[in-house]
Amino acid sequence: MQAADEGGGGAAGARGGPSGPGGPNSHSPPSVLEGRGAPVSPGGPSDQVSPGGPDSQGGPGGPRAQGGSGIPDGQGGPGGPGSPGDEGAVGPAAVGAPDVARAALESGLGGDAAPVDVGPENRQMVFTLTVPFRSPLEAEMARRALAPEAQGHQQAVQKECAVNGSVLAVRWTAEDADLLQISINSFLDQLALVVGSIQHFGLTPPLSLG
Amino acid sequence: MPAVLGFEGSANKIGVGVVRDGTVLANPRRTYVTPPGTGFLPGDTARHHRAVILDLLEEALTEAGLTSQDIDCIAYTKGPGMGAPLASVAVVARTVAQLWNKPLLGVNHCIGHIEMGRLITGATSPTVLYVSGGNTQVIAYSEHRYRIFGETIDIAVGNCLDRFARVLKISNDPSPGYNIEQMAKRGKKLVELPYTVKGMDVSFSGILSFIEDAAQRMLATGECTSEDLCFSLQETVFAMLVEITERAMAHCGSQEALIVGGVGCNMRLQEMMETMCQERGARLFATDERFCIDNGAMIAQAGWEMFQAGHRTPLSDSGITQRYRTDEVEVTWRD
Repeated sequence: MQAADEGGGGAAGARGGPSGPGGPNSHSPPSVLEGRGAPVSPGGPSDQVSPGGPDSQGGPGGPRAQGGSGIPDGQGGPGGPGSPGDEGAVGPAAVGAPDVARAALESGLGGDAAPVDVGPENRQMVFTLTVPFRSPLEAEMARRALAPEAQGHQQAVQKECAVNGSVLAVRWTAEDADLLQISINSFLDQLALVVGSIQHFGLTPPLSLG
Repeated sequence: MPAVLGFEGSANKIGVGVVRDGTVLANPRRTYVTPPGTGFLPGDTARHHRAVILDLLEEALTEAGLTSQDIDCIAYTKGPGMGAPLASVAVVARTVAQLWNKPLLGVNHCIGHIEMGRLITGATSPTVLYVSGGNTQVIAYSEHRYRIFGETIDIAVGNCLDRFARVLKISNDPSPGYNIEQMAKRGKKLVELPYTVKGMDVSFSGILSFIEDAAQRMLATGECTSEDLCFSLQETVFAMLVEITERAMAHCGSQEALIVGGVGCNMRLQEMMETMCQERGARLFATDERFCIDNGAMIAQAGWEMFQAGHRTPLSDSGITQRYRTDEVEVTWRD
Protein backbone atom coordinates (compact mmCIF):
# COMPACT_ATOMS: atom_id res chain seq x y z
CA MET A 1 0.00 0.00 0.00
CA GLN A 2 1.52 3.21 -0.94
CA ALA A 3 0.33 6.66 -1.69
CA ALA A 4 0.79 6.75 -5.41
CA ASP A 5 0.27 10.44 -5.85
CA GLU A 6 2.32 12.68 -3.77
CA GLY A 7 0.82 15.85 -5.12
CA GLY A 8 -0.63 18.06 -2.50
CA GLY A 9 0.58 21.08 -0.71
CA GLY A 10 3.91 20.75 0.80
CA ALA A 11 5.06 17.55 -0.77
CA ALA A 12 8.55 18.01 -2.00
CA GLY A 13 9.43 14.64 -3.31
CA ALA A 14 13.02 14.79 -4.32
CA ARG A 15 13.35 11.97 -6.66
CA GLY A 16 15.47 11.18 -9.66
CA GLY A 17 13.94 7.84 -10.48
CA PRO A 18 10.91 5.64 -9.92
CA SER A 19 9.61 5.98 -6.46
CA GLY A 20 8.79 3.03 -4.35
CA PRO A 21 9.52 1.71 -0.93
CA GLY A 22 13.18 2.06 -0.31
CA GLY A 23 13.57 4.04 -3.51
CA PRO A 24 16.88 5.66 -4.27
CA ASN A 25 16.04 8.79 -2.34
CA SER A 26 14.34 7.20 0.56
CA HIS A 27 16.12 8.00 3.77
CA SER A 28 13.17 7.89 6.09
CA PRO A 29 13.68 5.88 9.23
CA PRO A 30 11.25 3.01 9.81
CA SER A 31 8.96 5.02 12.01
CA VAL A 32 7.82 7.17 9.11
CA LEU A 33 6.98 4.24 6.91
CA GLU A 34 5.00 2.72 9.72
CA GLY A 35 3.17 5.94 10.20
CA ARG A 36 3.44 5.68 13.92
CA GLY A 37 4.53 9.20 14.48
CA ALA A 38 7.19 8.17 16.93
CA PRO A 39 9.07 11.32 17.78
CA VAL A 40 12.29 11.20 15.90
CA SER A 41 13.38 14.78 15.78
CA PRO A 42 15.81 15.74 18.45
CA GLY A 43 14.05 18.08 20.76
CA GLY A 44 11.88 19.92 18.30
CA PRO A 45 9.79 22.40 20.19
CA SER A 46 6.55 21.07 18.84
CA ASP A 47 5.32 18.61 16.33
CA GLN A 48 1.94 20.04 15.56
CA VAL A 49 0.55 18.84 12.30
CA SER A 50 -2.31 20.62 10.61
CA PRO A 51 -4.50 17.79 9.49
CA GLY A 52 -4.48 17.66 5.74
CA GLY A 53 -2.55 20.89 5.57
CA PRO A 54 1.09 21.59 4.99
CA ASP A 55 3.22 19.37 7.10
CA SER A 56 5.00 20.89 10.01
CA GLN A 57 8.20 19.53 11.24
CA GLY A 58 9.59 19.99 14.65
CA GLY A 59 13.26 20.21 15.28
CA PRO A 60 15.73 21.34 12.70
CA GLY A 61 18.72 19.14 12.51
CA GLY A 62 19.97 16.23 10.49
CA PRO A 63 18.04 15.31 7.41
CA ARG A 64 17.38 11.79 8.59
CA ALA A 65 15.77 13.00 11.71
CA GLN A 66 13.71 15.43 9.72
CA GLY A 67 12.32 12.63 7.69
CA GLY A 68 10.52 11.15 10.60
CA SER A 69 9.20 13.90 12.70
CA GLY A 70 5.73 15.15 13.02
CA ILE A 71 4.15 13.56 10.01
CA PRO A 72 2.57 10.38 11.18
CA ASP A 73 -0.64 10.78 9.27
CA GLY A 74 -0.10 13.80 7.18
CA GLN A 75 0.38 12.05 3.93
CA GLY A 76 -3.00 10.63 3.17
CA GLY A 77 -4.79 7.80 4.90
CA PRO A 78 -4.66 8.00 8.62
CA GLY A 79 -2.37 5.39 9.99
CA GLY A 80 -1.10 4.62 6.54
CA PRO A 81 2.57 4.63 5.84
CA GLY A 82 4.05 7.89 4.68
CA SER A 83 4.94 8.05 1.04
CA PRO A 84 8.00 5.96 0.63
CA GLY A 85 10.81 7.89 -0.82
CA ASP A 86 9.23 11.07 0.41
CA GLU A 87 11.95 13.12 1.97
CA GLY A 88 9.85 14.00 4.92
CA ALA A 89 7.62 16.31 2.94
CA VAL A 90 9.41 19.50 3.58
CA GLY A 91 6.38 21.68 3.79
CA PRO A 92 7.08 25.36 3.98
CA ALA A 93 5.94 25.69 7.55
CA ALA A 94 7.97 26.94 10.43
CA VAL A 95 10.64 24.65 11.72
CA GLY A 96 11.65 24.94 15.34
CA ALA A 97 10.34 28.51 15.46
CA PRO A 98 8.96 30.37 18.40
CA ASP A 99 5.19 29.95 18.68
CA VAL A 100 4.51 33.43 17.39
CA ALA A 101 6.54 33.01 14.28
CA ARG A 102 5.16 29.58 13.59
CA ALA A 103 1.57 30.75 13.85
CA ALA A 104 2.27 33.53 11.40
CA LEU A 105 4.02 31.22 8.99
CA GLU A 106 1.28 28.62 9.09
CA SER A 107 -1.39 31.14 8.41
CA GLY A 108 0.47 33.31 5.96
CA LEU A 109 2.81 31.00 4.16
CA GLY A 110 1.61 30.00 0.77
CA GLY A 111 4.46 27.74 -0.04
CA ASP A 112 4.29 26.26 -3.44
CA ALA A 113 6.70 23.43 -3.36
CA ALA A 114 6.90 22.16 -6.88
CA PRO A 115 9.26 19.30 -7.44
CA VAL A 116 10.64 19.03 -10.92
CA ASP A 117 11.70 15.66 -12.13
CA VAL A 118 14.32 16.14 -14.78
CA GLY A 119 14.55 12.45 -15.53
CA PRO A 120 16.60 9.61 -14.16
CA GLU A 121 19.80 10.42 -16.05
CA ASN A 122 20.12 13.94 -14.74
CA ARG A 123 19.47 13.83 -11.03
CA GLN A 124 18.95 17.54 -10.63
CA MET A 125 16.40 18.32 -7.99
CA VAL A 126 14.61 21.61 -7.68
CA PHE A 127 12.69 22.96 -4.75
CA THR A 128 10.91 26.27 -4.70
CA LEU A 129 9.39 28.18 -1.87
CA THR A 130 7.30 31.32 -1.85
CA VAL A 131 6.88 33.29 1.34
CA PRO A 132 4.32 36.10 1.47
CA PHE A 133 5.06 39.12 3.63
CA ARG A 134 2.89 42.05 4.60
CA SER A 135 4.60 44.40 2.16
CA PRO A 136 7.26 44.50 -0.54
CA LEU A 137 9.49 46.29 1.94
CA GLU A 138 9.31 43.43 4.41
CA ALA A 139 9.96 40.87 1.71
CA GLU A 140 13.00 42.78 0.57
CA MET A 141 14.23 43.12 4.16
CA ALA A 142 13.94 39.39 4.57
CA ARG A 143 15.82 38.76 1.35
CA ARG A 144 18.69 40.99 2.44
CA ALA A 145 18.81 39.47 5.88
CA LEU A 146 18.86 35.93 4.52
CA ALA A 147 20.78 36.26 1.28
CA PRO A 148 24.39 36.91 2.23
CA GLU A 149 24.70 33.57 4.00
CA ALA A 150 27.71 31.85 2.54
CA GLN A 151 26.67 28.41 1.52
CA GLY A 152 28.85 25.58 2.71
CA HIS A 153 28.39 23.58 -0.46
CA GLN A 154 28.60 26.19 -3.14
CA GLN A 155 28.88 23.78 -5.99
CA ALA A 156 26.47 21.20 -4.77
CA VAL A 157 23.48 23.33 -3.87
CA GLN A 158 22.48 26.53 -5.62
CA LYS A 159 20.01 28.84 -4.03
CA GLU A 160 18.46 31.90 -5.60
CA CYS A 161 16.28 34.44 -3.84
CA ALA A 162 14.08 37.01 -5.51
CA VAL A 163 11.35 39.36 -4.41
CA ASN A 164 8.16 39.66 -6.45
CA GLY A 165 5.82 42.19 -4.92
CA SER A 166 5.34 41.14 -1.32
CA VAL A 167 6.55 37.63 -1.91
CA LEU A 168 9.99 36.23 -1.31
CA ALA A 169 10.67 33.48 -3.81
CA VAL A 170 13.48 31.04 -3.23
CA ARG A 171 14.66 28.34 -5.57
CA TRP A 172 17.09 25.54 -4.81
CA THR A 173 18.84 23.34 -7.31
CA ALA A 174 20.88 20.37 -6.20
CA GLU A 175 21.92 16.88 -7.12
CA ASP A 176 22.36 15.60 -3.59
CA ALA A 177 19.14 15.11 -1.66
CA ASP A 178 20.78 15.29 1.75
CA LEU A 179 22.55 18.55 1.04
CA LEU A 180 19.39 19.95 -0.48
CA GLN A 181 17.43 19.05 2.61
CA ILE A 182 20.03 20.54 4.92
CA SER A 183 20.03 23.77 2.97
CA ILE A 184 16.25 24.02 2.91
CA ASN A 185 15.91 23.29 6.61
CA SER A 186 18.57 25.72 7.60
CA PHE A 187 16.94 28.37 5.45
CA LEU A 188 13.59 27.74 7.10
CA ASP A 189 15.18 28.10 10.53
CA GLN A 190 16.70 31.43 9.57
CA LEU A 191 13.44 32.52 7.97
CA ALA A 192 11.59 31.81 11.19
CA LEU A 193 14.08 33.99 12.99
CA VAL A 194 13.58 36.83 10.52
CA VAL A 195 9.82 36.62 10.83
CA GLY A 196 10.10 36.49 14.61
CA SER A 197 12.36 39.54 14.62
CA ILE A 198 10.01 41.50 12.40
CA GLN A 199 7.04 40.61 14.57
CA HIS A 200 8.78 41.33 17.83
CA PHE A 201 10.80 44.38 16.91
CA GLY A 202 9.18 45.84 13.80
CA LEU A 203 7.89 49.34 14.13
CA THR A 204 4.46 48.47 12.83
CA PRO A 205 2.02 46.84 15.25
CA PRO A 206 2.67 43.10 15.53
CA LEU A 207 0.21 40.47 14.33
CA SER A 208 -2.11 39.14 16.94
CA LEU A 209 -0.39 36.55 19.04
CA GLY A 210 -3.43 34.33 19.35
CA MET B 1 27.04 59.79 22.69
CA PRO B 2 26.46 56.82 20.48
CA ALA B 3 24.93 53.69 21.94
CA VAL B 4 25.90 50.46 20.22
CA LEU B 5 24.11 47.12 20.40
CA GLY B 6 26.32 44.04 20.08
CA PHE B 7 25.40 40.45 19.22
CA GLU B 8 27.74 37.57 20.05
CA GLY B 9 27.14 33.88 19.38
CA SER B 10 30.23 32.33 17.81
CA ALA B 11 30.42 29.38 20.22
CA ASN B 12 28.11 28.07 22.89
CA LYS B 13 27.48 31.41 24.56
CA ILE B 14 24.89 33.80 23.14
CA GLY B 15 24.98 37.36 24.41
CA VAL B 16 23.49 40.72 23.53
CA GLY B 17 25.10 43.83 24.97
CA VAL B 18 24.67 47.58 24.93
CA VAL B 19 27.56 50.00 25.33
CA ARG B 20 27.47 53.78 25.29
CA ASP B 21 30.59 55.88 25.58
CA GLY B 22 32.57 53.32 27.48
CA THR B 23 29.77 52.28 29.81
CA VAL B 24 28.24 48.83 29.65
CA LEU B 25 24.51 49.41 29.95
CA ALA B 26 23.42 45.78 29.56
CA ASN B 27 25.08 42.44 28.97
CA PRO B 28 22.71 39.46 29.29
CA ARG B 29 23.99 36.07 28.15
CA ARG B 30 22.95 32.43 27.95
CA THR B 31 25.17 29.36 27.68
CA TYR B 32 24.36 26.15 25.85
CA VAL B 33 25.55 23.38 28.17
CA THR B 34 25.76 19.77 26.99
CA PRO B 35 25.83 16.63 29.14
CA PRO B 36 29.14 15.45 30.67
CA GLY B 37 31.28 13.56 28.20
CA THR B 38 29.95 15.52 25.24
CA GLY B 39 30.79 18.74 23.47
CA PHE B 40 28.57 21.22 21.63
CA LEU B 41 27.85 20.71 17.94
CA PRO B 42 27.17 23.54 15.50
CA GLY B 43 23.57 22.65 14.57
CA ASP B 44 22.42 22.15 18.14
CA THR B 45 24.24 25.25 19.28
CA ALA B 46 22.61 27.33 16.55
CA ARG B 47 19.23 25.96 17.54
CA HIS B 48 19.86 26.97 21.13
CA HIS B 49 20.82 30.48 20.08
CA ARG B 50 17.81 30.89 17.79
CA ALA B 51 15.50 29.91 20.62
CA VAL B 52 16.73 32.60 23.00
CA ILE B 53 18.16 35.44 20.95
CA LEU B 54 15.02 37.54 20.58
CA ASP B 55 14.31 37.34 24.30
CA LEU B 56 17.90 38.29 25.03
CA LEU B 57 17.61 41.29 22.74
CA GLU B 58 14.47 42.40 24.56
CA GLU B 59 16.24 41.87 27.87
CA ALA B 60 19.23 43.92 26.79
CA LEU B 61 17.11 46.88 25.73
CA THR B 62 15.07 46.74 28.91
CA GLU B 63 18.14 46.48 31.13
CA ALA B 64 19.76 49.39 29.32
CA GLY B 65 16.56 51.42 29.58
CA LEU B 66 16.66 52.12 25.87
CA THR B 67 14.37 51.73 22.90
CA SER B 68 15.39 50.87 19.38
CA GLN B 69 15.38 54.58 18.55
CA ASP B 70 18.18 55.17 21.06
CA ILE B 71 20.51 52.66 19.43
CA ASP B 72 22.91 54.16 16.92
CA CYS B 73 24.56 51.08 15.47
CA ILE B 74 24.11 47.32 15.37
CA ALA B 75 27.32 45.32 15.81
CA TYR B 76 27.54 41.56 15.42
CA THR B 77 30.26 38.93 15.34
CA LYS B 78 31.38 38.42 11.78
CA GLY B 79 33.82 35.71 12.84
CA PRO B 80 35.82 33.67 13.62
CA GLY B 81 33.77 30.85 15.11
CA MET B 82 31.28 28.13 14.31
CA GLY B 83 29.31 28.63 11.11
CA ALA B 84 25.72 27.83 12.01
CA PRO B 85 25.66 29.79 15.28
CA LEU B 86 27.38 32.78 13.69
CA ALA B 87 24.91 32.73 10.82
CA SER B 88 21.85 32.57 13.05
CA VAL B 89 22.97 35.55 15.09
CA ALA B 90 23.93 37.55 12.01
CA VAL B 91 20.48 37.07 10.51
CA VAL B 92 18.89 38.77 13.51
CA ALA B 93 21.42 41.59 13.44
CA ARG B 94 20.70 42.23 9.77
CA THR B 95 16.98 42.14 10.31
CA VAL B 96 16.88 44.61 13.19
CA ALA B 97 19.39 46.87 11.46
CA GLN B 98 16.93 47.15 8.59
CA LEU B 99 13.85 47.37 10.80
CA TRP B 100 15.31 50.23 12.81
CA ASN B 101 17.28 51.69 9.91
CA LYS B 102 20.63 51.63 11.70
CA PRO B 103 24.11 51.01 10.32
CA LEU B 104 25.53 47.52 10.67
CA LEU B 105 29.05 46.58 11.78
CA GLY B 106 30.69 43.16 11.46
CA VAL B 107 33.18 42.75 14.29
CA ASN B 108 36.12 40.39 14.70
CA HIS B 109 35.48 38.29 17.81
CA CYS B 110 39.10 38.39 18.98
CA ILE B 111 39.20 42.16 18.68
CA GLY B 112 35.99 42.28 20.69
CA HIS B 113 37.81 40.55 23.54
CA ILE B 114 40.79 42.88 23.26
CA GLU B 115 38.77 46.09 23.16
CA MET B 116 36.65 45.05 26.13
CA GLY B 117 39.78 44.08 28.03
CA ARG B 118 41.29 47.50 27.34
CA LEU B 119 38.11 49.28 28.33
CA ILE B 120 37.52 47.43 31.58
CA THR B 121 41.12 47.36 32.82
CA GLY B 122 42.41 50.64 31.45
CA ALA B 123 45.56 48.97 30.17
CA THR B 124 47.21 51.30 27.66
CA SER B 125 49.19 49.09 25.31
CA PRO B 126 49.50 45.62 26.78
CA THR B 127 50.77 42.36 25.41
CA VAL B 128 47.55 40.39 25.18
CA LEU B 129 47.18 36.72 25.94
CA TYR B 130 43.92 35.69 24.33
CA VAL B 131 42.97 32.22 25.52
CA SER B 132 39.63 30.49 25.07
CA GLY B 133 38.04 27.27 23.86
CA GLY B 134 38.47 28.38 20.28
CA ASN B 135 41.53 30.62 20.24
CA THR B 136 45.02 30.87 21.72
CA GLN B 137 47.04 33.85 20.58
CA VAL B 138 49.59 36.30 21.94
CA ILE B 139 48.84 39.69 20.45
CA ALA B 140 50.40 43.11 20.56
CA TYR B 141 49.29 46.30 18.87
CA SER B 142 51.54 47.90 16.33
CA GLU B 143 50.81 50.39 13.56
CA HIS B 144 47.09 49.90 13.15
CA ARG B 145 47.03 46.14 13.48
CA TYR B 146 46.70 43.70 16.33
CA ARG B 147 49.72 41.60 15.43
CA ILE B 148 49.84 37.94 16.34
CA PHE B 149 53.19 37.26 17.93
CA GLY B 150 52.56 33.68 18.88
CA GLU B 151 49.72 31.21 18.76
CA THR B 152 48.72 27.60 18.94
CA ILE B 153 49.73 25.61 15.90
CA ASP B 154 46.90 23.18 16.46
CA ILE B 155 44.13 23.39 19.06
CA ALA B 156 43.29 26.11 21.54
CA VAL B 157 44.22 25.64 25.17
CA GLY B 158 40.56 25.79 26.16
CA ASN B 159 39.78 23.11 23.61
CA CYS B 160 42.45 20.91 25.19
CA LEU B 161 40.92 21.43 28.64
CA ASP B 162 37.35 20.92 27.40
CA ARG B 163 38.18 17.68 25.61
CA PHE B 164 40.08 16.37 28.61
CA ALA B 165 37.01 17.12 30.73
CA ARG B 166 34.99 14.92 28.39
CA VAL B 167 37.32 11.99 28.96
CA LEU B 168 36.77 12.25 32.69
CA LYS B 169 33.08 13.02 32.19
CA ILE B 170 33.50 16.23 34.15
CA SER B 171 30.37 18.39 34.10
CA ASN B 172 30.12 21.16 31.49
CA ASP B 173 28.08 23.31 33.87
CA PRO B 174 28.90 26.17 34.12
CA SER B 175 31.89 25.32 31.92
CA PRO B 176 34.30 22.35 31.81
CA GLY B 177 37.28 24.63 32.42
CA TYR B 178 35.76 25.97 35.62
CA ASN B 179 35.22 22.46 36.95
CA ILE B 180 38.73 21.39 36.02
CA GLU B 181 40.00 24.42 37.93
CA GLN B 182 38.10 23.40 41.07
CA MET B 183 39.32 19.83 40.85
CA ALA B 184 42.88 20.99 40.24
CA LYS B 185 42.84 22.82 43.57
CA ARG B 186 42.52 19.42 45.23
CA GLY B 187 45.31 17.85 43.18
CA LYS B 188 48.45 16.85 45.07
CA LYS B 189 50.69 15.06 42.63
CA LEU B 190 52.33 16.56 39.56
CA VAL B 191 52.26 14.09 36.71
CA GLU B 192 54.85 14.82 34.06
CA LEU B 193 53.21 15.74 30.78
CA PRO B 194 54.71 16.75 27.43
CA TYR B 195 55.54 20.45 27.37
CA THR B 196 55.41 21.84 23.85
CA VAL B 197 56.57 25.34 23.11
CA LYS B 198 57.93 25.97 19.63
CA GLY B 199 59.59 29.36 19.51
CA MET B 200 56.81 31.89 19.84
CA ASP B 201 54.12 29.25 19.34
CA VAL B 202 52.54 26.43 21.36
CA SER B 203 51.00 23.07 20.57
CA PHE B 204 48.37 21.26 22.63
CA SER B 205 47.26 18.28 20.57
CA GLY B 206 50.16 16.18 21.79
CA ILE B 207 49.56 16.82 25.46
CA LEU B 208 45.88 16.08 24.93
CA SER B 209 46.54 12.69 23.31
CA PHE B 210 49.03 11.91 26.02
CA ILE B 211 46.77 12.77 28.91
CA GLU B 212 43.72 11.07 27.38
CA ASP B 213 45.76 7.90 27.23
CA ALA B 214 47.42 8.45 30.61
CA ALA B 215 44.05 9.01 32.26
CA GLN B 216 42.85 5.52 31.36
CA ARG B 217 46.04 3.86 32.58
CA MET B 218 46.78 5.84 35.69
CA LEU B 219 43.29 6.01 37.05
CA ALA B 220 42.91 2.26 36.57
CA THR B 221 46.07 1.49 38.52
CA GLY B 222 45.35 4.15 41.10
CA GLU B 223 48.66 5.77 40.35
CA CYS B 224 47.02 9.18 40.56
CA THR B 225 43.61 10.75 40.96
CA SER B 226 41.52 12.78 38.52
CA GLU B 227 42.34 15.82 40.62
CA ASP B 228 46.07 15.15 40.16
CA LEU B 229 45.57 15.00 36.40
CA CYS B 230 43.59 18.24 36.33
CA PHE B 231 46.26 19.91 38.40
CA SER B 232 49.08 18.58 36.22
CA LEU B 233 47.38 19.58 32.98
CA GLN B 234 46.77 23.12 34.17
CA GLU B 235 50.30 23.55 35.51
CA THR B 236 51.79 22.38 32.24
CA VAL B 237 49.63 24.23 29.72
CA PHE B 238 49.58 27.44 31.73
CA ALA B 239 53.37 27.39 32.05
CA MET B 240 53.57 27.12 28.27
CA LEU B 241 51.30 30.15 27.91
CA VAL B 242 53.31 32.15 30.41
CA GLU B 243 56.48 31.35 28.47
CA ILE B 244 55.22 32.56 25.11
CA THR B 245 53.66 35.66 26.65
CA GLU B 246 56.91 36.50 28.34
CA ARG B 247 58.80 36.01 25.10
CA ALA B 248 56.50 38.48 23.35
CA MET B 249 56.80 40.98 26.17
CA ALA B 250 60.58 40.76 26.01
CA HIS B 251 60.45 41.26 22.25
CA CYS B 252 58.27 44.35 22.55
CA GLY B 253 59.75 45.75 25.73
CA SER B 254 56.24 45.69 27.13
CA GLN B 255 55.42 46.49 30.73
CA GLU B 256 51.79 45.43 30.63
CA ALA B 257 50.10 42.08 30.11
CA LEU B 258 46.38 41.58 29.59
CA ILE B 259 44.59 38.21 29.68
CA VAL B 260 41.30 37.92 27.76
CA GLY B 261 39.10 35.02 26.71
CA GLY B 262 37.24 32.40 28.73
CA VAL B 263 40.38 30.62 29.96
CA GLY B 264 41.44 34.00 31.36
CA CYS B 265 38.92 33.49 34.17
CA ASN B 266 41.19 30.82 35.59
CA MET B 267 42.73 32.08 38.83
CA ARG B 268 45.70 29.74 38.61
CA LEU B 269 46.61 31.11 35.20
CA GLN B 270 46.29 34.64 36.53
CA GLU B 271 48.47 33.71 39.47
CA MET B 272 51.23 32.27 37.29
CA MET B 273 51.10 35.26 34.91
CA GLU B 274 51.28 37.60 37.89
CA THR B 275 54.45 35.90 39.12
CA MET B 276 56.07 36.30 35.71
CA CYS B 277 55.02 39.92 35.46
CA GLN B 278 56.33 40.76 38.88
CA GLU B 279 59.66 39.21 38.03
CA ARG B 280 59.85 41.56 35.05
CA GLY B 281 58.46 44.61 36.83
CA ALA B 282 55.42 44.53 34.58
CA ARG B 283 51.73 44.88 35.43
CA LEU B 284 49.09 42.24 34.86
CA PHE B 285 45.51 43.06 33.86
CA ALA B 286 42.59 40.66 33.82
CA THR B 287 38.80 40.87 33.77
CA ASP B 288 36.15 38.88 35.59
CA GLU B 289 33.84 36.24 34.11
CA ARG B 290 31.32 38.83 32.90
CA PHE B 291 33.83 40.00 30.28
CA CYS B 292 36.38 37.16 29.97
CA ILE B 293 33.78 34.80 28.72
CA ASP B 294 32.20 35.58 25.34
CA ASN B 295 29.59 38.31 25.75
CA GLY B 296 27.59 40.78 23.67
CA ALA B 297 29.00 43.92 25.25
CA MET B 298 32.49 43.20 23.99
CA ILE B 299 31.18 43.16 20.44
CA ALA B 300 29.28 46.36 21.17
CA GLN B 301 32.44 47.98 22.53
CA ALA B 302 34.58 47.03 19.55
CA GLY B 303 31.66 48.13 17.38
CA TRP B 304 31.56 51.46 19.21
CA GLU B 305 35.24 52.09 18.45
CA MET B 306 34.78 51.10 14.84
CA PHE B 307 31.62 53.20 14.49
CA GLN B 308 33.36 56.28 15.85
CA ALA B 309 36.21 55.69 13.42
CA GLY B 310 33.76 55.62 10.52
CA HIS B 311 33.62 51.88 9.75
CA ARG B 312 30.38 50.53 8.27
CA THR B 313 29.44 47.10 6.97
CA PRO B 314 27.05 47.21 4.02
CA LEU B 315 24.34 44.56 4.06
CA SER B 316 25.66 43.03 0.88
CA ASP B 317 28.98 42.45 2.64
CA SER B 318 27.59 41.27 5.94
CA GLY B 319 28.23 37.54 5.71
CA ILE B 320 29.94 35.60 8.44
CA THR B 321 33.21 33.76 8.19
CA GLN B 322 34.55 30.92 10.26
CA ARG B 323 38.13 31.98 9.73
CA TYR B 324 38.98 35.59 10.46
CA ARG B 325 42.48 36.48 11.56
CA THR B 326 42.95 39.09 14.23
CA ASP B 327 45.50 40.91 12.11
CA GLU B 328 43.16 41.17 9.12
CA VAL B 329 41.40 44.17 10.62
CA GLU B 330 42.75 47.64 10.17
CA VAL B 331 42.60 49.23 13.60
CA THR B 332 41.98 52.78 12.54
CA TRP B 333 40.68 53.86 15.94
CA ARG B 334 44.11 53.72 17.55
CA ASP B 335 47.27 55.62 16.77
